[in-house]
Amino acid sequence: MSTGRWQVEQVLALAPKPSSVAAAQPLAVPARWTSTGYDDRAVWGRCIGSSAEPYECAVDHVEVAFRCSCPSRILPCKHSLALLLLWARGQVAEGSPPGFAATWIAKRLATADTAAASLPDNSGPAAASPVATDSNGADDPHLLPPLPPVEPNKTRDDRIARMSAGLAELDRWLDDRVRTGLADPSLASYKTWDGLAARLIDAQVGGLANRVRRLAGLVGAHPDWHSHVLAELGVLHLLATSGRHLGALPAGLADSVAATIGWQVRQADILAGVPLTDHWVVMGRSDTREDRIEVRRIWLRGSSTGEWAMVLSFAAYQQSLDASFVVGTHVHADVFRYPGAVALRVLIGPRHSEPQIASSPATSTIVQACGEVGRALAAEPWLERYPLCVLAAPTRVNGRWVLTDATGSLPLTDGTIVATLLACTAGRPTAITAEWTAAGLVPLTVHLPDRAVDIGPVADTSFVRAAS
Amino acid sequence: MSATATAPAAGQPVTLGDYWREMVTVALLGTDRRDPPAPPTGGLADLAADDPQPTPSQRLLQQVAGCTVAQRAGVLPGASARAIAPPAEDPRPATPPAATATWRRIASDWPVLEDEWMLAVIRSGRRLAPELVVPILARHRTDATRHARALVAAGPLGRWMIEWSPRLGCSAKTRPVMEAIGELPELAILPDLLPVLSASPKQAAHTIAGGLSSGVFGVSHRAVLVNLVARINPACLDHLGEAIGRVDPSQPSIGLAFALADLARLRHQMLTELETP
Repeated sequence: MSTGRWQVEQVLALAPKPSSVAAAQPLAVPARWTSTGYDDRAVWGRCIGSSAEPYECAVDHVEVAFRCSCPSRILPCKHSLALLLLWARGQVAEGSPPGFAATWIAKRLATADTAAASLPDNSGPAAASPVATDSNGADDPHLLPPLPPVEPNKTRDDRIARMSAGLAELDRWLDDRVRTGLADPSLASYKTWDGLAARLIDAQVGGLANRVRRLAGLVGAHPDWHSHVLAELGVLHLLATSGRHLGALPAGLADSVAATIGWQVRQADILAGVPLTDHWVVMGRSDTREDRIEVRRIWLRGSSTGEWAMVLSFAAYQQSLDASFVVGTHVHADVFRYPGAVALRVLIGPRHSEPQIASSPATSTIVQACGEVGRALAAEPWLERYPLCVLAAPTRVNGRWVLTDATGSLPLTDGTIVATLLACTAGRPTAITAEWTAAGLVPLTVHLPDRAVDIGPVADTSFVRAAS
Repeated sequence: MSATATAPAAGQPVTLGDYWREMVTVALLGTDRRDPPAPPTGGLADLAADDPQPTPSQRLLQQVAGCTVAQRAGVLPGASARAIAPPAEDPRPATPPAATATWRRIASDWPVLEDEWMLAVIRSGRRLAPELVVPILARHRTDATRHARALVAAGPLGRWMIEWSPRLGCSAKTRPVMEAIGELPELAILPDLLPVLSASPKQAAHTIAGGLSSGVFGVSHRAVLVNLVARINPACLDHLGEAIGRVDPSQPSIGLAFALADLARLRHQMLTELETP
């Protein structure tokens, strides 16, 4: 966000809904405020409201964050919006921040410094809004709750020992499950899985904790759930075993295992690598909820290399997901790959041009797509998703929707997206970007002759905010 | 106490699928009750031989992991299937992407405009963009008239979709009123305000914006003013949006004014996007 004074329109765009502005407008008058001021980082003031004490309000207008002592859970609250409106209208004078604002800004700066220095990436392409972009996440092992604080005297070896103990415990737990049987009623209780996930987080193998939580959702979800759960237990066993033998694995595979179980990589280390510069076509978008975080995967494909890349962004409650990649466009940019055997995940570096409309994508046949997926899974068997773009038609076989062409067919997942896919293709062969998952293909984009239609799973709008 | 599983007889072919099903059965019962099956000859048997596991449960986990990897990495396509017959061609142009985005906004923020949006699509000689057919049919499946109107806008694709996805069909017990399909439903408007519907843009803006500024209209008038802006002469909308936007921010009715200005602007945008091509 620019460090200059905002326009009123920028403030209004931040409002969660029109009624928020309606609530803020009556407060956006100087008479309701004392101790107002702004500097090149923040704007602050005390709002005289219905309570005895005025609400202390401050807004970071550079990194866009809000702090208000009012009890509202809406972000930004009406006081923050009113303060910004006052500022935008030039009714706030420049000055030095009072204690409450100075302390808050100092904490934010300190946190940002610490995060930049010691934590893996929590920023993506220059965030112009309160967007949490590409931190840790998801099927990708990096979607972790914050790590427990590590005391300075704790060594890397301590952490490895803790992770090894966690992996050993996971394997014991898996052993118990197959020993006593999947018909054990305790498996139907979320507590069974959540307790294990909590212990895995304590052991700093949060990537596995997320997999365990996702696995809990499979229990009873399908008549054939025992088979799905057993397969995932097998993958967990594979990861628990490989994670304890990292030193014996080839470098790329060891990186993949480490990342999948939850070993975090510093953003600075990734950005220190060699960039891949290409015209990256935004092939698809997929949003999924992971516990209390919404995860957005953006699938890119290099125009010249044909290589796939995945950008992750994350949003907690009332945060925004990265909306800077529009399906059907391409952007000339540098990307930096995370290490790994398949190494899909990337960080976005400098973008060299504005996004432009992409032409029709290159497509594979169903057989070729199976080959691509198979090669990726042979390299990283724990991959939960892999992108593909095929020229195929949706059709129905034995009560199940599949994508088919002259070379074969692959099943689609159930759900409303398949209906939208059917409507967009009208049953005709069409270029389709989809995610392979063990449960079937998830269609993401229908590439029509004149445009790309984004039909991927969409984040719950009551949970995340639209990007401003 | 474990019962010993029956090992496959020598030379008996065992497919990976059969082997997997047997392992699922053992996992359901638990290895305390039944030993895991012997793997079929090949890579999985080699894995078991190379890295023997001491307990039945560990043997099962090892084999489940190996079998899962083999099945996933060795993903093979099913047989090519016959394509389904597409719907009849609809010569009408589809609604432009901007109108699609506007419909999503209307559905979420201002459903009072939805009927007019659909009628504007039909009257402009357009059909629904395909990505809207499913959400619109699903949204109106309990309202016979709106569902019928959506089917007119969706054209052959709409009826074809219902054939393939019957849940998109109308579930209302009543039949649609055919005359109502092409008509904009009436909204409740105070008799005193009825003249505003046909007033000149300047008069309409004066009445509404003036009422908001002077305090004649307050939050209690919200529903009736929303209906008024949703049905006012479209020629007034541009002027009205501007006039309401000039309401003094210190007025208690400023929130209502902001909402009405948003409605007026959105309706103006909607009608502009759906002008006859």
